[in-house]
Amino acid sequence: MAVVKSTSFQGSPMVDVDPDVETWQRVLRNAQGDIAGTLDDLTSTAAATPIVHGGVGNGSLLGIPWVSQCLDRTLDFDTGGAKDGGATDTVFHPWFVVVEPGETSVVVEITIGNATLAANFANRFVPRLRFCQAADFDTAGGAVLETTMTVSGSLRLRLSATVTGITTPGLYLAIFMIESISTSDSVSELTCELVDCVIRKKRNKRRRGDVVRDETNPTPVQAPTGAASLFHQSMDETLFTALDAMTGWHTSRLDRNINGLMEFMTGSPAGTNEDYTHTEDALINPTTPRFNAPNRKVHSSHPLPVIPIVSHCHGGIKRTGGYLVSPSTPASVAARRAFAPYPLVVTELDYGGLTVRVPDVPSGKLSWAILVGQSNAAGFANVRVAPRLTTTPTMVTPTALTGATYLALAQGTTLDFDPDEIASLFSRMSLVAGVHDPLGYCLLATCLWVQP
Amino acid sequence: MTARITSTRFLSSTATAKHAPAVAEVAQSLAGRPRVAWEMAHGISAVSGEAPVIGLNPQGLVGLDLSGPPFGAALLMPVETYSSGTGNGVVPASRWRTVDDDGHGATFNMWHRPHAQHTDGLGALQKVALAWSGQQSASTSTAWRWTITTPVAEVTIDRTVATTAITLHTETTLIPLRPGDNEITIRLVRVGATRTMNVLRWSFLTAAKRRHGLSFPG
Repeated sequence: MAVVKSTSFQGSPMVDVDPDVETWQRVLRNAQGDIAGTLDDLTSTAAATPIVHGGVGNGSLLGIPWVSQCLDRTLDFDTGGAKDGGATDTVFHPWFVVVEPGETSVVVEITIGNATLAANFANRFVPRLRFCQAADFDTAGGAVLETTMTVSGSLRLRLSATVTGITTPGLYLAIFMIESISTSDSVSELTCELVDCVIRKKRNKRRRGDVVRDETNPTPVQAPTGAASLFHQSMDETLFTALDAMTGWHTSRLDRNINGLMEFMTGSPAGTNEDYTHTEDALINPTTPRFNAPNRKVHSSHPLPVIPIVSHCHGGIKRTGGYLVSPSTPASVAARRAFAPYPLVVTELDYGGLTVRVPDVPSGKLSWAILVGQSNAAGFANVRVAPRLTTTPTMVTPTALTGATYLALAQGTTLDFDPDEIASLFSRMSLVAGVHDPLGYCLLATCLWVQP
Repeated sequence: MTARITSTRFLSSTATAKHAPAVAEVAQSLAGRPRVAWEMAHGISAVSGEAPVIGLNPQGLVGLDLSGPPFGAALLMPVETYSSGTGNGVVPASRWRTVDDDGHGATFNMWHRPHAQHTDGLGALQKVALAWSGQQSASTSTAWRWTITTPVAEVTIDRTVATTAITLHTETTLIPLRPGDNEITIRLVRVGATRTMNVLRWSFLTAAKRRHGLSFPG
């Protein structure tokens, strides 16, 4: 026997359901087939079109911003180079960007402040954005590799750039580069306040008010009851044999299947289903949504989209690899000076803490990346890094980027975590015996995302 | 493909029961709703040559974007991050400005992923929760006050902590935001005894959902 299930949408012509028209068995059969096919696409990686939210008939793009970070740091340039940067230095601040399948552009917006600086910014700094694949400093994945950022605003300046034409999804670096060109300027010290960074998709703000409580639907409707997270009963082809009668059994079962799919898919009650309850009503720390949520590990066979979780820049580094702040004279608490390197020791320690909500995905589906920097040519062979959420992680050796040997990338999918919990995410680092950068190493960026 | 029926009308439990009248409304609903479901899942029109029959999701695209009911159960995640360091004794001094009687504040922009705006006022997903931890200068009880100003409201959160290492607090007072760009001012002030905040980490997290008795747009 074969279950009724469509691999592409069938539907029914308008004339088949006009008043006074007989109810054809094909109408109900196609409806059941479309429902079963849609459900299959939502819940099986082996379906005809698994819904992975790639935007090409396999589900809407998710539109989750990649980065939203309050920086609240100052970046000082002076002619002697004693502070963060010298008179003609270029300073990097990198963020990881996990470009999901279907996304082709990246919008980068960075706010900097300082009233005196803003008045003459163009004469003192050149802001640029470099967008490259994470492991290769010289490869952009089809996009512009380096572009000048647009400057707007008055007291606060908004620096923005849009990268388009990305053809290959994957892990990238968006590097904010600010170059001091103040040699001819009479100002001996320039302070640039880094305020925030937003890296997001190019999207519209939504229209308001187009979701309404629908009072026109009848009550009650047939729908899943109690704790059911998904109601669906298959129907066999033999139930739709030509010339056989269509009965209340057919219509009732089909109606319940449609309602069940709607609740599962939308997270909303079907009509005014009085049996519908959300278990995540708790105010802040809800239990896992019991309806369709690709971040739910109990649905381990469901198609899983790429989901950015957090991407954070911990510090900057000069383009030549030099540090912004000497670890021997670290910035004071009050100064909020930009980003000193961390003088690593053999003991593993946690650095750069972040507060995150960890998704409820199956083990092995959480991917991470960490970018570190060095100030000289000592290399990274004796450096170990890994993220830590719960248990002590297995440390790995970062690999220098192609084209920028003072930057090194570590990434992996091995990470212990408590699903659906709010937790602190640390970047753990240590050294093993051998040659090291005597100034220590600089933690530059951390990223966490869901990777199917 | 010829034009296909569509419907967002649900049926009452009696409409499909035995001996129910065989009216066209039943067939129209049963045949029409699968098209809506198909388009919500796949994010494109179900019928070539026809526009999608469903309304746009909060980001202006077609289909479920997992931004909250009725566009799918919402993904819960951090939406804004700040970190001053770790303060484990090895790291150079924290770079979060000393918080004293005048406090410390930062004003920044953030992009809040749009969620469904509900005409009956249910919009919990447009709010975020503050989760924070840190390290203060003494291990005796100190009152701290957060003041967070958004384009929508000003929220005050008080928290007293008694240990040097401040464990992770997820505050229950939610912070409303508007879709898209928001200019936020966040301020932390010491209310009680003299203390400094040497290390600070905070995030805005997607807040919990509430029950939504809603249907999606047709």
